[in-house]
Amino acid sequence: MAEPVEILLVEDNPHDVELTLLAFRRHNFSNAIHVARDGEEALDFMFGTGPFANRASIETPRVILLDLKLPKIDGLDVLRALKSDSRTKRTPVVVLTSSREGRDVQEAYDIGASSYIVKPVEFDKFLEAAKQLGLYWLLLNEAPPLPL
Amino acid sequence: MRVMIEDSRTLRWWRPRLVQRSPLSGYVTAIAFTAAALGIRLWLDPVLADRIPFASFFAAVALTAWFGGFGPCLVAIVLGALAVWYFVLEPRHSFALDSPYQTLGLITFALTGLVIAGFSSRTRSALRAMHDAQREAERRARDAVQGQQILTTLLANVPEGITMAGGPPDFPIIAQSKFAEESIGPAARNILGVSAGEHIFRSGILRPDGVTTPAREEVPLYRATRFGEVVKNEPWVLRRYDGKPIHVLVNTVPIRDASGSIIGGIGCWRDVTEQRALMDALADSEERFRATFEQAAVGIGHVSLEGKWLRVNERLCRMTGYSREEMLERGFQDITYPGDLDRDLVHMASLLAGEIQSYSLEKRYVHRDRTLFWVTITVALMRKHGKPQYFISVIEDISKRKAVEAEIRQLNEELESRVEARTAELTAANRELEAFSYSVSHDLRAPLRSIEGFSQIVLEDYGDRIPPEARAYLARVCASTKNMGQLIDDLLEFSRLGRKELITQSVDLRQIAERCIAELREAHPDRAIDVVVGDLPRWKCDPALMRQVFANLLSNAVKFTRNGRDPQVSVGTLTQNNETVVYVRDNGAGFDMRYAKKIFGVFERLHRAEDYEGTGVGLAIVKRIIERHAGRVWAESQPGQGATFYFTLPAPGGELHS
Repeated sequence: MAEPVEILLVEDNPHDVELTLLAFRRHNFSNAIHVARDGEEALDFMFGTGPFANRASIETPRVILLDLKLPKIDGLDVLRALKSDSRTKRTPVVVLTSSREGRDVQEAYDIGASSYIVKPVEFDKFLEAAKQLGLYWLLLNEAPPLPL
Repeated sequence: MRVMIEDSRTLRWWRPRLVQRSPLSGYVTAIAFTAAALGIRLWLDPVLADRIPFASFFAAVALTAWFGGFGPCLVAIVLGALAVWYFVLEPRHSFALDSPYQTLGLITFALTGLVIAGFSSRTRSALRAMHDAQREAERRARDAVQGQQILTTLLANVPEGITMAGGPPDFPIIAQSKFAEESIGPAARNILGVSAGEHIFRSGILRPDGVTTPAREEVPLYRATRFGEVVKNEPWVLRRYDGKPIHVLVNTVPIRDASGSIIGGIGCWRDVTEQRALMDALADSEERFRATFEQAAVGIGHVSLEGKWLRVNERLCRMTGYSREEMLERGFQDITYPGDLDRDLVHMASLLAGEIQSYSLEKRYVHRDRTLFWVTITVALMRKHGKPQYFISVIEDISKRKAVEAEIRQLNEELESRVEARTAELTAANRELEAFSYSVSHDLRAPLRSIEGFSQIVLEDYGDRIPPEARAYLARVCASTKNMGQLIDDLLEFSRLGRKELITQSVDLRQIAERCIAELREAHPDRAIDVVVGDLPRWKCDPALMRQVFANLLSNAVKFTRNGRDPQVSVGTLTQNNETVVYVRDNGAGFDMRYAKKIFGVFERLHRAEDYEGTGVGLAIVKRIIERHAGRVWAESQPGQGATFYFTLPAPGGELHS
């Protein structure tokens, strides 16, 4: 990978992946998105383990977009793992999910989620959400310092 | 009697003293008469000189013989002779004699005196015999009168029926007590002379059964007079003057003469009707108490102060398995479970000390077969004149109750564990339901997004290359997915209501209603929303949920009045059957009352989607919230006439505030 990954999208639903990528493409944020298809892959990617073991340094994306319902390792567990590791705990994690359950929202924030966004069903709203996300996290938000 | 004797003495003073008060008095008489005779002789001495020397002394002897008797008469003779000898015969004042005539005179005086004494004595004996005979006759006459009087008095007053029969051959009735006559009445009169045995049939006699008439030979007085039988306390029934039968006890005896022949008989009877009634009553009472004691459904026993069973009833025997005899050989200590004995003894001591009147306790008895069983005993102390006599114990077998109690205890425990299990099941079910809603929320939405998203992309990116008809279809796909998204959201909201815990507090419903109205105005800036808010109480409820109720009802009212000419919505309360009822009324589209029930169902809609949008969950949510607050909700309407939705605020909701 030549350029550093700016967005890590953790999402198992291929349609949602495509729609998300499409949305980011429409707003020109498509250049540095890596997609992890389950929780395990997401953690491997972040910590340079498993298929990513040959990488020199760990990834530090500007933002992680995390679905909650994931195969293998659940989204909240991924979040927990990231937030409990000094290398990844500062990376902003935006929960991007279909769930409106109050319990999920509460727990996500408790663990350390930076934001919680319910994916709108309507495509135009979804597009708007993707635009706002990109604008905020890639342009407006000051990235955390690199881990020591 | 004494008086009569005194009388005869005073009236017949001249009679000789036949009964001497003292033997001396006769001799005193002798001396007195002799002295008097000497006095008279000496007084006449100047006239008589020594002639007729003994004249006055004969008189003295005769008088002494008459009044004093033979002995004093001898004394009078001797004294008279000595007095004449000494005072009259010459030489005077000496016992010398001048002539043999003088001696002859003295001897003649003595002999004549003796003759007088002899005659007098005989006469006195005859007189005495006569006197005694007369006295005896008088006494007998008196006794006879008295005896007759006593008998008459007795027969007239004795409070018993007495009948007396004379001798053979007929043994006629010769006397009857007045009591008998009066008790039996007219029938018993004029039975004097009637043969004993027959007499009683006049008054009416019955055997002890009070029904059958006896034969003559059975009649007691007949048996006494004819067979010499002695009858003692034989029960019979007689008929009283008023016709009422009386129970009597009869005694009869024959009367025999010295040779043993029967010369009569006496019958007595006594009315024992009252005693019999008393005895019967007593027997009845006794029987009742015995029955109570014996037939009681509880064990009853009397226990001596030492603890021995004095009396036990059948039930107690059956309870303990011992026979009555075996029980009476035992004490209560023998059949009490040793561990329970002390408590009993402590209470018994309190009873004896007079500290308590009775006590009840549960304890165990040992059955004859050595098994234990539970009883409740209630013990009181019987006292007589303050002195303890015996304990009265009432014993109830409570084994069954104890068993039932144990069973209930066990059932309770089982129930508790079952409730626990059920609670766990419910918790698990709830968790499953949550997981299900989670899936619904998350997974049903994703495909919708794909459908909508990709349709949109097709429309936007390739819109110019597809025919307008296909574009319209794709637009419908998008609208439908949007609609489905809303359905899913509403359904989730509805299911969440069932699970959410109520957090109640005192809530001002008026404030809630007004806030909802304000929000509606914001949401529909194009419409003039006019809502009349009437009296609304403060109520204890979950404010968030109650807000949803008002929001749903008011938005419904606003929605269905939007096509009307003069939309009117009002909210307020009224009182119905002592219940506070909140209403939300509109003059909108209304609905057919046939569907009134249906209107609160999930996804139930009474209007076409083109006319009035909505998922049909709003009223179902209202119903669920009100029911979770223990209230009721209903609606009244007519198509085109508007609709009124009501819900009740149950009692704990509090009171109306002004």
